Amino acid sequence: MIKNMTCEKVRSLLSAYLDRELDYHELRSVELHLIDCPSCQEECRTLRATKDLLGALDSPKLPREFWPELREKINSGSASDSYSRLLVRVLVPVAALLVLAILPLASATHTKASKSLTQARTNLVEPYVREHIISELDRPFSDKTSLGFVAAGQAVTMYSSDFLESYDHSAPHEVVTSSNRAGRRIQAEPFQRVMFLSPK
Amino acid sequence: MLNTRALAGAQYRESNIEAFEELVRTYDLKLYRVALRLTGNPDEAKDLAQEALFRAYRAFDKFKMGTSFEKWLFRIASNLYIDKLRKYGKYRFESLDEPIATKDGYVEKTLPDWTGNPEEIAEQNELAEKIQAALQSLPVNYRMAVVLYDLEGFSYEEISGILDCSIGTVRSRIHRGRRLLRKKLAPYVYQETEVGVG
Repeated sequence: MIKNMTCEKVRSLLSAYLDRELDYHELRSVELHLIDCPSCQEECRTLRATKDLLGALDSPKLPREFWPELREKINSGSASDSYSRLLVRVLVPVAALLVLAILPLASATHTKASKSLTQARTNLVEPYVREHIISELDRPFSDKTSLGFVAAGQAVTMYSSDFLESYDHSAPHEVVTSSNRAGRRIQAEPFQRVMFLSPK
Repeated sequence: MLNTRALAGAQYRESNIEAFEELVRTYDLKLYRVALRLTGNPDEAKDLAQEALFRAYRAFDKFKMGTSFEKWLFRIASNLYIDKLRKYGKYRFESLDEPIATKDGYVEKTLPDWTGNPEEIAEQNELAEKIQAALQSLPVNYRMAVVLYDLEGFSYEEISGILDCSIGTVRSRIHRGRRLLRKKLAPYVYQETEVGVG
């Protein structure tokens, strides 16, 4: 829609008007305003003159050394790229091999430490669990199933998975038998199985 | 027209500088001209244009096929220019329109009024030098918009893509830039309009 614009609005659009970058309605509105507004006409003339003045600037030539220097830059850049590629292709595999070589040693050390820790935990906690289960087994009306679940829950909480994996499953037999309570070995076995999650 | 597909081809990938040079030859002078008008210094213009082409060469795999290579290239150049300005602060970066903050509050900037002494101005440097100096005095965003439109003939839409701003912003920057130039170059502007009217 073509509107009656104020001088201020028209003046803000004059550069775009000169550049033919207004839409149809804006263009017609500016044109209509300019017909009757000498001050905006003057504004428009001086802006056009400013725009035309810029055309007085000479067009420079490209310096002769422009491309030779750029080629050299690209070449040296490519050289550094090649160096980077060399780093990636040679040094990274070497580093990877070194890591592979070191990893088993580190792992062995870690496993050793892990085993020590597990052993410490076992020494501290296991006797109490064991004694609890064994004492419960002595009671004639104890709920064996429930006790099994309690034992299993305690086992999972107290014994880390690496312990479960590395644990010598023959040990509970020995432990129970070493308690000198005849007949308990048979009763204890189901709970040992639950505790150590390894059915026999 | 630039054969961007060829540029992306195997020859380019193998760092064929000659192929790259041949393909961007269309733009090297234009790029240098813009750089010269932005920096006002031939050596810095050469450095800027070379650096822009070098970056374009290295980053060509990021160029999206089917889009304007020219716009992409000039965007690299304008970003590079702004980065350098921020880093080294060689050129004026502040707006001439904005007031300066001081301890006692804000002070309005005033531009020299040359309207009254055209004879004195006529004794100064050549017209081209005056225009270049006036361009240099513009805030960088205005300068880039004016140079790209008035000197290199990019459309408002293309400039909005190069400078990563809206067309409305381009319109505003060009207009403000021209108004500041008019003030700076008043003796020449009014002389020209008088000749035009007469």
